[in-house]
Amino acid sequence: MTNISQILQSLNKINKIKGSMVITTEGIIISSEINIDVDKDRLSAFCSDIGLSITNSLNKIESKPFLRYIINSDQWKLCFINIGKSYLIVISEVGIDITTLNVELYRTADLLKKTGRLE
Amino acid sequence: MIKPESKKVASIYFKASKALSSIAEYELAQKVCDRGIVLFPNDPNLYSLRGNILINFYNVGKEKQYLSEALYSFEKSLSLNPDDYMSALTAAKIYIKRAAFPKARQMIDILLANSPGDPKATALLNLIKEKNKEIEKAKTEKSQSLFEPLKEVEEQTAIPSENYDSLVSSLHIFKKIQGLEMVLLTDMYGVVLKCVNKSKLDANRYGIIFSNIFRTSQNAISNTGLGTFKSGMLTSQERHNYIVAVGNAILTIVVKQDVDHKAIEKMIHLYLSQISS
Repeated sequence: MTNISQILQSLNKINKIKGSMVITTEGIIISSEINIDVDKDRLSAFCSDIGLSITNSLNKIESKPFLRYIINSDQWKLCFINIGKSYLIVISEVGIDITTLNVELYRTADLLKKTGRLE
Repeated sequence: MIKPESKKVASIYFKASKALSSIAEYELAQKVCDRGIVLFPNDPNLYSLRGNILINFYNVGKEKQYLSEALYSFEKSLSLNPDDYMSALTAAKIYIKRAAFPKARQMIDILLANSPGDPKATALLNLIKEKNKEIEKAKTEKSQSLFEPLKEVEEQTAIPSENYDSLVSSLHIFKKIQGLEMVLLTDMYGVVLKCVNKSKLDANRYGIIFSNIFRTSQNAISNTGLGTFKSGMLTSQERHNYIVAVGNAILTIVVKQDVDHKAIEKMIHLYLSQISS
């Protein structure tokens, strides 16, 4: 499987995952499979903002880039996975099993890297 | 990094917003600026301008929320461009107004490091020293007349100090965590209220860094309609960092890799139950 969209669709089939997208670190959408009512452009812009804030902040204490960031809101979980020059963004329900989520995030990030399209 | 052509377009939003602001069309100016920020979230000039527009709003209605938002914008601008003189100067003034003197001092240190002997920065530094003296004097004498300025200071603080006390007193829960490096309680701007440090990490620096990440996350979640920020877990190659919203303060827990996350989450839950009760 080499199509980014197909990889995201496959991820979205996991119970309680409601959408996923791949964006560049500047916030440009590469591929989006979001199944909830959210402004994708706005979401990608703010995700880029968070990524930049983390990168700039961590540079002051650690030399290595961050791996992932999982935000819990009162309604959703928003997951960021750093895949080099892009981010995998995943939205899931709050009650998702965290072990399943972790496994799927790493598996999907690995598949995305292997497409060779995010360099 | 912003590409040169992106910068050109970002500057159009900047100029349009600034022009509107100069003719006192602040609401329109803010809309244009906000739109620019959504499209160019890495442009420090837009954040700095947004901060100045919000100061204008504050000057009209004296509503404190505008100062908080302005402060966020200046901090954001500084995180993207640490040499931004005007953002650091205005942020320092706001911190002084809020009686957050350690944070104001940090801003002034940035200013003086970039331009040693700067008269405006020096004047603010002297003002902080005077304010600190006033507070010390009031504490010592405990006279009603001297407490009056202190009351004003307390009103400007986000939440009363006794509320922080309850947050601080329950922190002992986290001392049992295996692999714990640091537990940090800060206000919304990263001023350290309490720190349990089991390593050599710089608590002040961590406070500022995680308050920045916290506010960026909070802003993103609320502006994208995804609810209200509750907590976050940032995983770097060296450690895990939990960031938790606790009232008007931020709890940061730094742990080594390979820790029991479920145990930590239980402790966070217990802590939140204790402080709410």
